[in-house]
Amino acid sequence: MTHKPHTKHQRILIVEDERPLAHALELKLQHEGYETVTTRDGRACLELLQQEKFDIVLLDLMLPVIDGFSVLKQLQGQPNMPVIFALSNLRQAEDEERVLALGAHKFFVKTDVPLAAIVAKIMEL
Amino acid sequence: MLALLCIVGLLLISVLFWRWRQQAAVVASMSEPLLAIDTRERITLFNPALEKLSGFKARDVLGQPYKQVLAFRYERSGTVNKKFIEEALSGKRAYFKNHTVLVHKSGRIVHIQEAAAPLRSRSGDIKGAVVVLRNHTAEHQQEAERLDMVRVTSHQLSTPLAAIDWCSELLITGPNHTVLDDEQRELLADIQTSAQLMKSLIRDLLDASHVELNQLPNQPRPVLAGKMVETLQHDFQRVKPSSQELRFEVAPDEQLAPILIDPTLLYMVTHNLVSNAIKYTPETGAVDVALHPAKAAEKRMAGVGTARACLTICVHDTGFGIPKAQQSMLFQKFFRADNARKHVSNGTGLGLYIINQIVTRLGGKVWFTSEENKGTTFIAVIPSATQDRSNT
Repeated sequence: MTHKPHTKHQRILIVEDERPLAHALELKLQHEGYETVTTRDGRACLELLQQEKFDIVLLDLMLPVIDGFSVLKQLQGQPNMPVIFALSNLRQAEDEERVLALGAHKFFVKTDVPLAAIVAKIMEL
Repeated sequence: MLALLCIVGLLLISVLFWRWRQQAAVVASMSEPLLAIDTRERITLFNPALEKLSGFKARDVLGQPYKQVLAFRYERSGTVNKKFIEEALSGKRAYFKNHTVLVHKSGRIVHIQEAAAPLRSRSGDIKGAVVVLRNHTAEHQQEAERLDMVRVTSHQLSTPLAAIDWCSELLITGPNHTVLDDEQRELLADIQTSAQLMKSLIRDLLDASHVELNQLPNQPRPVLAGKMVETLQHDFQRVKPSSQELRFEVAPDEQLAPILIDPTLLYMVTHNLVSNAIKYTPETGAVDVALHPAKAAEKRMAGVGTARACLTICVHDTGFGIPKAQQSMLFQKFFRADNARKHVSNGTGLGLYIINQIVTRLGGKVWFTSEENKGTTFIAVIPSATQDRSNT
């Protein structure tokens, strides 16, 4: 599920197991000119990050096989890491603190944020 | 004569002994745990039901100060609850409430309802207090399970709703939106509005269940209210009617920073107050929000010591107001005033309930003044958390 960028040359890895949400993210980012790759579990995410270069990762937290928190832990301290945006439906402040402490750049609550706001944050990078 | 006196004396003793035995039998057979103490708070009665509830034996505790035996604590904060017994010893009755736990001899927590009344002599002097307890653990467990089900269900509904919202957004704003006709665009906007409404209803249900399950965050820290207000302004600019005025006035950070508050709770209270004001104010109206260190009069109104640092959140609107006859019910769960229902069809009636619960738990108070068709002013005074963070 790889698509070529229109205007920007940034690659985004979408890690989301809910297909409609992953699909909406893919379409929105592709409309904005980003190249996207989508995967549905934490282990596949870690494997892809070892094999390919990504600029940004949109990482869901509640994932099958390896969850998003564990992905962040395993990536801690590794060189040339992409910018990671954590996405979740967990709304507790401690979850936000936890992922930011683990190295995520930003935390979004999926039900509270429009797609346009996610893209706006990516564009700020 | 002496023999007659002896017989009368014996008869009197027998009657008294019989009455005492009868009273003791009544107390012993009571299914509800019963405690009596004297004015020095020493245990004078400890019935078998209380032995079962507490794990202590009457023979071991009679004559001891009750506080050395029975640990009554507030369920939510874990702090000692001695209020109901103190009130009884001062002559007041305390009726059944269900916010207390008793620590069993084994350390296990027992959820109870407690009631207390003064024990008086025939001349009316207070001789002590009598306390009746009810074991409320089973009901408490059922309620917790029910609330947990609401919490889990609400959480599960969030993902499909986010998908409906995002997909509608994509159709409305995506590159192919020009192929849609006006009717299709309107229908998509209705789908998106409905999804957003349902999300806010679910958020209210989740917040209310967190309040009732005592699962609210409580990590006080110095809060930069100015920064929080920036986020709020940004959030509300998207949802408020374009012609409605929304103004924020925030005291400088250096005045507010010493106040320790959990930022999530502060956000929830302020967000709910502003959201309500916007919702129940006509499009041509105005909402003014002010955050500042509480003034002495506001602290007095909130029942907080004047030396304690407090934050005041004041939200004034020129909205529909609250009918006088219904003002006393405003903080009740699921309550919506008649004119609120008339002007705004959607709403759970949970927003103000959540605000009141949070502010009260933080040791503060929220109140309002309102006039129908003129507007409402809500004032929430929240005290700074104490160093041990036990402000709930």
